[in-house]
Amino acid sequence: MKYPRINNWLIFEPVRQGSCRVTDCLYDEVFLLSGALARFAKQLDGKTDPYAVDPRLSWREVRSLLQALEENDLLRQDRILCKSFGTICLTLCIPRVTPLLRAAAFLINLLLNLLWLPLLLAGILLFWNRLPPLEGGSLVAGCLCGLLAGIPLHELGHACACLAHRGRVFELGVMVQNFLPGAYVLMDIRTVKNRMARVQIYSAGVQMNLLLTGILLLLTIGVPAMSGAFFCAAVINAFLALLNLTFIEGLDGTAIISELIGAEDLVGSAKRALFSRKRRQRLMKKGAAGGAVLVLSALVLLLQLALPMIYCLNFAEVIQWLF
Amino acid sequence: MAFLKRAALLGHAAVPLLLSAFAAAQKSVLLGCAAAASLFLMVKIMPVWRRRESLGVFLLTALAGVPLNLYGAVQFARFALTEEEFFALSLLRGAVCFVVLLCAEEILLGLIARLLWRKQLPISFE
Repeated sequence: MKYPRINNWLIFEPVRQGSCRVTDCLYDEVFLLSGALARFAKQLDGKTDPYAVDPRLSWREVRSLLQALEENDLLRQDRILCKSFGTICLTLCIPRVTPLLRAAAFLINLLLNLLWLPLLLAGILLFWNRLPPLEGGSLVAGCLCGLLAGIPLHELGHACACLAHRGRVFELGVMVQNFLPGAYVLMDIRTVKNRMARVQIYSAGVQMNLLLTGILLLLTIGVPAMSGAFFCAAVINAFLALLNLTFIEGLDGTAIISELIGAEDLVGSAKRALFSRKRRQRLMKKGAAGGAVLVLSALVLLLQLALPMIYCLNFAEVIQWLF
Repeated sequence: MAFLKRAALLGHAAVPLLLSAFAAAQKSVLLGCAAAASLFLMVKIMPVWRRRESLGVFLLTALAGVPLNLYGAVQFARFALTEEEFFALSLLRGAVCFVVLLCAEEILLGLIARLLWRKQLPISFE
């Protein structure tokens, strides 16, 4: 990024003469900008010199426009999205959404929906029937390749599903969160009105990992020379898929179940319902329905224990493997 | 009347739970499917879940799925256990397996519930 760039997760909508409503989809904020500032901001794409955007503007005017944008945190100077202790997010791709890209995403999403289950079942059944010897290829390389393929393809699944259902995809990138590597896709699905479409967008990542699991199991049978590596990669992708299905805060499973049962911010709402005496009393007064919501809250919070359990299990497995 | 209501509430959860326990004891897939079907039937007939069917399915799945998920978790822990391993590790594996099975079932049955009952009230935590 050679020059400063306007934050790519902003949506500009002209409101009335001389004003522009800006929606910040990352922080969920809405504010108004003057028309001139908004027009200038939209042209800052990171590749254009801000002082060359409009020759009619003087150096001082461009400087003050840039300062106004910086004061409101609307500019980004580099590809780092966020940075804190143990966490860093790096932007890799800011897609330009064209009709061709949407058509390609639609096709990929359609193939994903049609093929993930048949390929997964075929892989499991054939593997179970034949049980090939898992001798070929490096197991560690298989695990690493499974992770390197599975994590980005997971996010690509989300991005394609979002574009296919006419949502917005702002960027894709890699991150290290709490010292663990991963990838992310920044998207906005508020324009997707159909509940089942939103569920499919959230589950597209898991579908992609399960599709990969099926393909890798078939390769385990088809390529005996690398059967060990392919099998390890398949297991890694199956683990990624199952991990993402759990109701741990921030994972796809929570988003899917929130949409299915019709609750927004399930974990946050559950915490507020259970840890506030007033809310508990109000819910108990509602009778069985209110009691059911309290039980739901307790269950959701109990399931958050899965995260420390998984960390302990991974740690114990690594220690056992080392010794 | 209040006693009858409470009895109905407890009783309707017992049907899928008993079927699920029977399915785990007999290792029968058919009985497992019957447990799931009875779960949807109970949610359909109980007035407390009207317009909140997904919530009902979620809670009943968590309860009725315990015997089957426990069976699956124990089998997985036994399958994964080797001679040199600590028992605690196998217990941890079983617990994670239980949670993963529960979450997968919740999502699958929740999806079916949404397809069956499209018009529902949003869940309010206030």
